[in-house]
Formats: sequence, C-alpha cells, structure tokens
Amino acid sequence: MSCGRQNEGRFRRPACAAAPPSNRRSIGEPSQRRRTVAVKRPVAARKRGAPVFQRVTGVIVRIRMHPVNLPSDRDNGHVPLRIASCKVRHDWETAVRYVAEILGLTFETVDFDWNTPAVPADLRPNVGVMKAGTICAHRWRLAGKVGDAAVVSVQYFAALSSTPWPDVWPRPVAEVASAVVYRVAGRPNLRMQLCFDPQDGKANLNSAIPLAAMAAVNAIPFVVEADPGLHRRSPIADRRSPVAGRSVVTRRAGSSPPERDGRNESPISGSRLWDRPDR
Amino acid sequence: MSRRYRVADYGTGQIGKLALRQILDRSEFELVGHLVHTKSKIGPDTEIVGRPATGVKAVGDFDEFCGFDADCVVYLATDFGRLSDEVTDTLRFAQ
Repeated sequence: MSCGRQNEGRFRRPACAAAPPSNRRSIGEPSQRRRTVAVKRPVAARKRGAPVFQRVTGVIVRIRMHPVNLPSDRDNGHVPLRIASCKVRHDWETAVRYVAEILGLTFETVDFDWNTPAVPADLRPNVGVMKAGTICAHRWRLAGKVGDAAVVSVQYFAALSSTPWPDVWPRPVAEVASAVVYRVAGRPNLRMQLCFDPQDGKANLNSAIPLAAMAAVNAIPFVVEADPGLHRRSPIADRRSPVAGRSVVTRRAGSSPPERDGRNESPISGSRLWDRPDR
Repeated sequence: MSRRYRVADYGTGQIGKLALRQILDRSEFELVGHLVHTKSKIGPDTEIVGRPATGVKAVGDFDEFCGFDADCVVYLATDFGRLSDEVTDTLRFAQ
C-alpha cells in the first residue's frame, strides 16, 4: 500500500489572496485521457448568506491496495466511517469495472483517494452551529487506471452545504439536493446531470432511494430464471448474465429478458413501471 | 397466466420497505416471508410498510427465514459494519 499525500481542497478565496500552489492536485482538472467520469454529489442543505471562505487545506491520500490499514496521522485525525470500513470500495468498485467492461477497457489498478475539507469559519446550517475547523464534507474517488491516466472513475461528494464548496471540486449544473453527473471527457465532450427530485412531494424522500429498491425488485424474475452460479459479466457479449445485466442496472422495468433455449421469453408479464406512489 | 414468483424479503429499512411495498403491490410476486432486525418490527404483519395485512408475519430469526420456500430472496439489509455477516448470509442462501 502506498500512501502519498498531497494538498487539495481549495475554497473560494478573495481576489487579494495568494495564488494556490502550482503543484496542487486538481480533481476537477480535465484529462484528455479520461473517458468517463461519474459524479454523485448529494448536498444536504442550502444556506444563503453563509460566510465567504478564504482558505482551507484538505489532504488527499492515494491508496493502491484495499484500504485496510489506513494511516492514523491524517491532518484532521479523522477517517470517515464509510472509508475506514472499506465500504466505498466494496460498494462502488463494481460500478467502475462495469463501465470499463462496456468500454472494453482493462485496468492496471483501481486507485482510491479521498479528502475531508473543514469549514474555515463558523457555519450556521439549519440546526446548530458548525465551528470553524469542523469537517463539513467528504469526497472520494475510485479511479481505474491505465498507466497514470484515470480512464474510468467514480467520484462521490457529500457536503452539509453547497456554500463551502472547494473550487477544485466540480460544480453541479443545477442546484439540487442530490444528483448524479455523467461526464464523458474527450471527443465528443459531454456532461449530463441527473437530478433526484423529492419523491411524491416528500422533501425528505430522495428519489434515488426508490430507484435503488426498484432495481432489486425488477431483478427478481431475472434472478429466478438465471442459471445457477455467480453472475458477474456484462450481458453485452453474454445475455445470459442477468444479475449485473444492462437491463437490470439501467433500472428498465419490463426490459428484455434473458434468452433461454434460443427464444426470447419474458419472465415479466408486459411492461412494468414503478407505478404506485409510496405511501 | 404468467409465472408468479415466491419472494422472501430481508430487511425493511429505508430501501427495503420500498421494495417490500412493490413486492406486495405487483401481482407476479407472492411474499412468503420477511425478516427484520429491529426488535419492534418482529411479529407484526406487512402493515409495518403501510400495506394491508397478508398473513405473513415478520420474523427476526435467520434460521426461520431460511426455512421459507422462496424462489428468490430480496436482500436489502445493510452491509454497513456487517460485511462478514452479509457474506455468511448469502452463502447460506446459496446452499
């Protein structure tokens, strides 16, 4: 495990402030070799009139192996639980590898890095006061590497507020509580933001939650119809792999079923939608 | 008539309860059992997710859950802090 460390996490500063160090690593920096970047960025709350942040320095740790033995001497001394428990790699590395498989890419490594910026001045969110120096956000990235280039990566941004938002973090296209940004850097150069609006008018029910449940329920007929064994490959070349198949991953209810005995028999009776509001 | 699937549901948290509602709402699925971890959820029927009672009581015992005759298990328990349990559970289903 190698744990190099670089400064990162520059917040918006006044024009009179000193320029950032030139060796700073910018996660928002476009890379000609990067092909696909997916960004999930939930923001818990909005706060107008919050203080202008001048400078916050976070850290970034790059780990090449499974992050079991994380360093304890982080600048702020705190390792977010999801990172310490290895849950990030466990949950999301499959997404990186899935996109790579569709694109026909093979990685040399899947690198993991993260940082936790702190607020440089007291912040007053909807509840209480967040004292200066308190961690207010975290970001991580899993990046499938070919050589030094991150060709497919997933980044996750979680922040208490959109106001203390480091300049080096990509900004969403529209102000929403939660969104996924799909970015294809290259030619053509594309970015698409999918906003998770409140579900059924409930401000505290992010529509990404029923989306996750929907995928599991829609997968039932495919799982039952599947051959025994573990299924992990993309269905692009082998459509008999339904569990990680495109029809399930894309959450398309009533999509094409697995082919069996040369026929296209649907285990689902007609097109099904997530058709009843949750009460 | 198209096939019906006998489904056992594992977990009724934030996502699990939404999945359970859909299993109950869709005609091609039949709920044969559901397992919960929170003690206060053990025993009641599917009213705990805001649907009419089906006669399928929530159980809290994993061995009892494994005894259900299901075509498929919908596993929506968290793996947060219990990764090894999740692996053990999944292997048990596969046996």
